[in-house]
Amino acid sequence: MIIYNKTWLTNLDIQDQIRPSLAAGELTKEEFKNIEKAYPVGFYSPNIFVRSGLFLLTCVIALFGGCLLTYLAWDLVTAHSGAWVLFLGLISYIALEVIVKTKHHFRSGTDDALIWISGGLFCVAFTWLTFTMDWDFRTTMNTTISMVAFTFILSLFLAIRFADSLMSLFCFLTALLLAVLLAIDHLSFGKEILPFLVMLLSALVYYFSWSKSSHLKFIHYQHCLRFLQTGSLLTLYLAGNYYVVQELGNELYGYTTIGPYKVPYPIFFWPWTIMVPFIYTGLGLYKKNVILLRTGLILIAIAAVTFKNYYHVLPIESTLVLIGLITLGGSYWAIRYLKTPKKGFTSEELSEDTIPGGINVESLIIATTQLDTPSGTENRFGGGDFGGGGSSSNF
Amino acid sequence: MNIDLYKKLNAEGLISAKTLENVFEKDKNPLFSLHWELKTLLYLGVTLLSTGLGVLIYKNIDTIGHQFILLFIAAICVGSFFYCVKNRNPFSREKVKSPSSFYDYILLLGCLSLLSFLGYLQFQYHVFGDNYGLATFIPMLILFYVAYEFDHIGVLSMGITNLAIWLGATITPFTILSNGLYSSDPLIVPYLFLGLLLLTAAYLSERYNFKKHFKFTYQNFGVNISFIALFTGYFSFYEHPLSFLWLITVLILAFILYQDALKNKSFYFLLLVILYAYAAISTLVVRVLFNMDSEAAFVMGLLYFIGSAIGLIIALIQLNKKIKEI
Repeated sequence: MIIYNKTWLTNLDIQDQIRPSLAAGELTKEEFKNIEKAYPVGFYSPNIFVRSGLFLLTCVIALFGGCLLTYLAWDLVTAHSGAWVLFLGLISYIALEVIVKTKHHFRSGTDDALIWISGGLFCVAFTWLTFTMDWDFRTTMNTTISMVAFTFILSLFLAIRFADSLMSLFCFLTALLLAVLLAIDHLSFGKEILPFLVMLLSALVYYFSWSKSSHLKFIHYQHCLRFLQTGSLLTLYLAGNYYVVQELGNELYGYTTIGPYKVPYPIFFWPWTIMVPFIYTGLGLYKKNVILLRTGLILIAIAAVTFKNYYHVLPIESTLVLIGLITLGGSYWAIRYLKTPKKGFTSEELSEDTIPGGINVESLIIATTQLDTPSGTENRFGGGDFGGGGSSSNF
Repeated sequence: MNIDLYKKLNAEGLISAKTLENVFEKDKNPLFSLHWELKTLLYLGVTLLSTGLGVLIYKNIDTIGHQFILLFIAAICVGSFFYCVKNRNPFSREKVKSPSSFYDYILLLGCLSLLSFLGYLQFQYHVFGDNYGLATFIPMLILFYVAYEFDHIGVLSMGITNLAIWLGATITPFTILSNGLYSSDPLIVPYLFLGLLLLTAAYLSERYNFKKHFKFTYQNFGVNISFIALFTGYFSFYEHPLSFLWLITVLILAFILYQDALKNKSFYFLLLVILYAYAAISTLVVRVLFNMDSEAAFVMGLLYFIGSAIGLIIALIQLNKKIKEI
């Protein structure tokens, strides 16, 4: 089913597995070169800059190529617009298959772009065709459901065929959306159980992607499974987040006779909102699982914002100062504490994290976030731009 | 860690017994690094704290409490710099390894609170009078001094931004893109001057081997600012008969930077320069075709984009190979 050369994929996996040892210095460069020779990889997968360049240029070619074809066949296009889009989709898909098979592109930017372009064109074509042919879609709900179902099946196919991690995440999200729509449409109590339905599905997907992550059968899908783990952890939490439930409930029910929508069972949803991020973080530390840990840390911030949204304990600026001091102090303590590794944890980095070209990622982040300086060149220190040269709050 | 894999590789004679032993040893005590998590938390803490303090004085101005807040900010600033001076490594023209990541962020906190403090002084007491040039020049000098003295790239970026404010321009790629393209003409020359100044600084850092690792930051700002200024110049003088000279300048500058990027094997700058040059050529081609105003010109335009993009893809792939070989 997978389009790429499986031996190469396996070899690539082997190289990726031993690369940390090379960085840590246990493996000599010569040994690594020998391994590269013994387990060759013939894919064309360039570095991130070439990849983004190729992605951009492929989009340019697809756009103008599509325009040219449409222009040449204009009479045909006006008569069968839906079929035309389908035709364009087929062309880009064939181009994708040819490039992957003959030029061995693998995550090169070109294949990334074509996967999304052809998928998008197919979806547009499907919608167009089903609208004009007027199948038995009486209600808009049915149309939406059929569209989502089509998108789901298509993205599942693309995710499996090209082992694309973003596509698999997208596929998971459409699956969730499909389940939600079906529940609303076909179950009389569908609306009431939505949060629990999403939680259940996310939990199942997380369990699946976590338990199968080192399974031999899914060895070529490790990237996808990692993305799925992160995605399902996020949806599992968000399905029970108080703010999300409140807002979506408002959308679904609106104002009823008993006044605005109120979240039922706050006794369940509030603890869920606050506790789950800490449970993730704790489990992540306990199991030494990076995905759980990082997702948990991000969600702690979201939980704090949610809480702040409903309960104003302190004014915003004092909260910022307080949290800032606690975070600084806490991380200072943790860095000191872990200076010599304890219980298998360390605060030192195991290998240098630089992207090819020797660019320091951290300095780029500081440069892009800290520097959103007050605009306006006159009266620079007046008004609300009080942060001086960079204490603005978008991070 | 997949021990079986290493065993297999050993059995195939690809790795030595000693390497295998090393791997075994490491596998017994696997380490889990919290480095990036802690660093992110530090960064978050510094940002939250300085933002919170900034808002705090702003909201409390003209009350009795604000002097305490000011004192608090001054204390943080002095404390941060004191910590940094105490823990620093001696100055050197080369890259100085930072003592710890905590040190880096404390230095950042010190600079941020210093800026808040100076900003407050100007706002409340008009220390620099109505001379806004001076009010931005002094923080800028301090930031550059700190960046070089303590070897901190983050502070250097802040210094460059302050330099831009001083020159009457505000820079981040986003603000330039959002309001730069069609903004008034008087800003183009300062932008361009700033861009070229930064490129010169990048060149000099390397040439005289003085904090060579700062070159990337200078060049990153310099490249983007100069090119965007040139494009803005072209579009603001679009009707002028000599407006194409702006784009010619883009190509000349691109060529110089291209040579430099090739020499330094920096694919990032290579890609950036190529894309800017491509944009310049395409702008000219599209303009010529627009002037023809016929169906044939439309088709030619489409063909141009398809052909040039394919050509560029091949060129990028070849260049990548070339850079790897050097």
